[in-house]
Amino acid sequence: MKVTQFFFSHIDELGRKVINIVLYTLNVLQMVYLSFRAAFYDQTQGFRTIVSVISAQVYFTGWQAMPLITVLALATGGIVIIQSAAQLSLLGGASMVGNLMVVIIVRELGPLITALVVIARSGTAVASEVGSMRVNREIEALESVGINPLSYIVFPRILGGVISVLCLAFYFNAVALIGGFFVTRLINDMPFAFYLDSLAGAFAAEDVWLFLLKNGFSGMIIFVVSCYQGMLVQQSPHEVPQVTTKAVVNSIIYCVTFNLATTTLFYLKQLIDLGLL
Amino acid sequence: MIDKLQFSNLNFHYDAGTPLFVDVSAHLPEFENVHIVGESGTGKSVFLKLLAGLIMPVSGEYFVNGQSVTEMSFEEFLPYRKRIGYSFDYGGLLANRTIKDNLLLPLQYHGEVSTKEADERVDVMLHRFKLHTQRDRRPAAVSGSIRKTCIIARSLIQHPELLILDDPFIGLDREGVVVLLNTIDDHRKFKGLKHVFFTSRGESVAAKLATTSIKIENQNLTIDSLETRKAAGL
Repeated sequence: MKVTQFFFSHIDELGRKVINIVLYTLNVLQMVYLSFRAAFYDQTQGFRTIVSVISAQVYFTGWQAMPLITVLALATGGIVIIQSAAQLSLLGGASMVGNLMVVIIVRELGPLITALVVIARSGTAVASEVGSMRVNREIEALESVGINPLSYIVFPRILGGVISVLCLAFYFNAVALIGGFFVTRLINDMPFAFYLDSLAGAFAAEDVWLFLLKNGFSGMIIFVVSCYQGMLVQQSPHEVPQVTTKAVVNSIIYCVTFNLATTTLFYLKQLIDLGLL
Repeated sequence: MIDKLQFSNLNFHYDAGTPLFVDVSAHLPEFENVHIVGESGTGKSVFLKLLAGLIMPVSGEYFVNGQSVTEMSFEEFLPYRKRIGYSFDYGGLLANRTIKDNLLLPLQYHGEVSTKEADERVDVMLHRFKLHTQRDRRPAAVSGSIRKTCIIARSLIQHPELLILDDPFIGLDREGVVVLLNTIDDHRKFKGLKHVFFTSRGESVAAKLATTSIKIENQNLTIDSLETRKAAGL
């Protein structure tokens, strides 16, 4: 009897968790829809004002993150080049270095590291900013003067965030692939022309789609989750750090899950195309 | 145009809270300065927020000109909202904008007036409420009375037909109170202001503005016309 009770209580708990996750995801998706609807529905609303908020978001999220992204990209690119060049030379496959760089940097580490940096820098900032705005009644104030917070606060942050993440990921890839090579120049005797040739041969058309999909959605996930968590603050300042922590945790979970799912589907498609599945 | 305001079988309570309004039905006074009175915690601020459409009743209806606000989307209520000025009892200024920009934002955003006219309106309001010396400072860098004055000024910047003031006199000095009373008078005469609803803890100041009062007690409203009372010699 006790074993049965134990078993069913765990099943119940699991069910509740799954339902909560599904409801949370639906609420977040609803906010995406409502914010885009609010931004495009009323054409009389100030487009210039929204553009100024978007550009501010791009400046804080994209431009100001570039030094950190540069350091991480150089380190990541350098490490992968050193490791792969050494191993591939031993196996006599040095010309595969480009393929390895594209697979590891462009397809996997680039989107993931960029997302983590943006979560750490801007996801926290947005969640705490929106939370503080709720506490200080700024959100209510916007509504009171006829400004929809979803179009003035949420929409520009999502759009600015997506633009920033795409630009940062492109920058990360460029610095990691090219800068990483020059960082390791002293201990790596591979000719640059050979390396470039190998890289050029490794890129495929689907890399562009994968890049846009992974980074675009990561940007959206981070800023939607952060805005949503910020909006959950009711009245008390002590809720702000709580929602900020939750925004970080949830953003990481959603981004990592999305990246993993995309990669899995991408390789399944490749296997199908090759006739292996 | 905001002419008629009506509550019908309205109920309101916060999540898991005790009910603040139960089955309230009333035609609210029109073209009056209405003083909302009641004990602390009876729901005076909630009443003002319901009136401004910032919160919705749990059940029942709130009608503006016979149209149910509870069934309207944000966009459908927007034409009315632009004609409603709301002043908070505390907070409510955008922290990352200067005092001037806080006043300018609604005019800039809706684009109903030209940039030149928006600037002129803001300048007039800044000078009238003596905010011009603080115009380029952010809310965190000015005193509480300046913030309060700025919120009141912003509620008037769009030339509202319905003005809602939550404890407007708290934090204002004597001169500020006189300016506010004169401005309300001026807006009523020349800028299309029709209805004023306000709460106030200062009875003597409130008496200077109020022409009617609504008492909130027992989760319901009692509308009391001061004109009627004066005529009856009470």
